[in-house]
Amino acid sequence: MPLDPSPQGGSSTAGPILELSDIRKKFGALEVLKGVSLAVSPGESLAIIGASGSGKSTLLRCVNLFEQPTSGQIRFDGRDIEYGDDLWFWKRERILRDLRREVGMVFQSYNLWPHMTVLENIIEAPLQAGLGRRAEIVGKAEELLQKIGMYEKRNEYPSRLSGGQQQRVAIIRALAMEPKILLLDEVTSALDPELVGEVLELIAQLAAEGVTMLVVTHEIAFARDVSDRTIFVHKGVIEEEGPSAEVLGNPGSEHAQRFLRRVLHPNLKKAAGVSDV
Amino acid sequence: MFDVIQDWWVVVLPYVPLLLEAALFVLQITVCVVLLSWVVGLVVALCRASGVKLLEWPARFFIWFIRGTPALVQIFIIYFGLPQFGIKMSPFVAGTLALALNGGSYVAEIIRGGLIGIPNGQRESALALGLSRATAMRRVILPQVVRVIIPPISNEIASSLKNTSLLSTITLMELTLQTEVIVASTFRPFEFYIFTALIYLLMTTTCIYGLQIMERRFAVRY
Ligand SMILES: Nc1ncnc2c1ncn2[C@@H]1O[C@H](COP(=O)(O)OP(=O)(O)OP(=O)(O)O)[C@@H](O)[C@H]1O
Ligand SMILES: [Mg+2]
Repeated sequence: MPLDPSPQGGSSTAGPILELSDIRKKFGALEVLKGVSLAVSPGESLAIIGASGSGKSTLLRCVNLFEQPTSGQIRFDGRDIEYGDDLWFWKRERILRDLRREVGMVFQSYNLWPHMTVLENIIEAPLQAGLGRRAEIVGKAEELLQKIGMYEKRNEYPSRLSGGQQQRVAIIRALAMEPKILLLDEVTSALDPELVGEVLELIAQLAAEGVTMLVVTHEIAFARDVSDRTIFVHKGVIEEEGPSAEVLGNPGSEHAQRFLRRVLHPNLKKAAGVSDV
Repeated sequence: MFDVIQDWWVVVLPYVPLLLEAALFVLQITVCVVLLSWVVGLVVALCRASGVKLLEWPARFFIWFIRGTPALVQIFIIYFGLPQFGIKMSPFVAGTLALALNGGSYVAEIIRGGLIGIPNGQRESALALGLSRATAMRRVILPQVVRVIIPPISNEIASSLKNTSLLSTITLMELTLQTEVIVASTFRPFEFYIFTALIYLLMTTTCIYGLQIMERRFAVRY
């Protein structure tokens, strides 16, 4: 039984679910994204790797318009997403809300809401979005909880859970909205090492079940084993793109080679005198 | 010592019903003031935090003006000043309004402090799930703010209660003015003002501890 209730539920096009064209983003004078283009097909899982500050998070945040691109086009589920300051306030709010209901995002710090129980955390957004009757939504949430083995914790408050448990709840909280794409930004970076595995396992399971996702990660082995494709970002530009085995096994660009050497053998960093990539 | 207290009671006792009635009136005014000041405070705090200049600046100005001027002057502006523009209110309405605006500016700052204390990730995760900004505020942010602001808010309620004594200056027969009137005919200021002080003390203490107990009941939830 698939973990995601409807992996590509109701996608209206056969083409890419997400298409970014020449996305640029400036923070003041600093250009963080310098023309990024990218297409993600339904069911695909894509890893994004790159050095700190290369613009990975900014790229993800442009997809759900947490950051407004300076220029470029976002095509999602067959429609062009309007953004920009010239939009009328309420229209803009509605566009953002509608987009985010279909684009799930999970963060490094799990950000569960401490005043709600695990179950309440999961059902809140589907209830607000009117995705179904309360009983149905609760039923689905409980199903999701069962699948990650946390049904018994449904009435606990997040503060009573381990980091790994909280992050897995955060992931199924996003899934409860039945998103057409899931954005994961270094979701294991804040976890104690012994808790990383359970979260990666869940993501791997979702990928296998055909959940479309964009995963920013520092876990190279995970990118290699789980994602269909990997993208290497360097200073706001996609420098490498292709099947994960190729990009990670035999990257063409010098920067990617150095980056991989550094993250795969962090202890060699000093000895080899590798400078910042 | 015993004699003094007995004498005191003999003096005060006949006036106790009158004073308690005035105290009840104080509570009524306080309830009105507090409820209204929460509305004012919430609106001003949300404007202040909205990031919209057109809302933010009036809110800032309001807080700056109210906190920088004496409550008594604010009361006089509303009760004596506004009638010049045809806005005439009863002492009760004018007084309640003035104290609510005054309290509202303090409540606004308390709420703002609470808002700042909520990590940004809480808001972002709500928006990321497709909650509108208003829903995120109502369902995710404010419930967390409420918990941290209960202690300062209970102090603010006590302040509002004490501030009602300022309304004695605009002929509102609340506890302070009632005491003044009694003193004028009995010539026993010490006994009566001490007794009145004790009534105020009882009311403020009850309200502060009552809210603390409420807070503890909230706190066991998470
Ligand atoms: N809101 C912002 N305002 C100004 N500069 C920003 C903002 N957000 C990000 N930046 C800058 O943009 C650059 C890219 O940041 P980003 O967070 O996208 O990098 P990243 O690849 O995700 O790095 P990390 O691996 O450390 O998470 C950095 O130099 C950062 O300082
Ligand atoms: Mg990042």
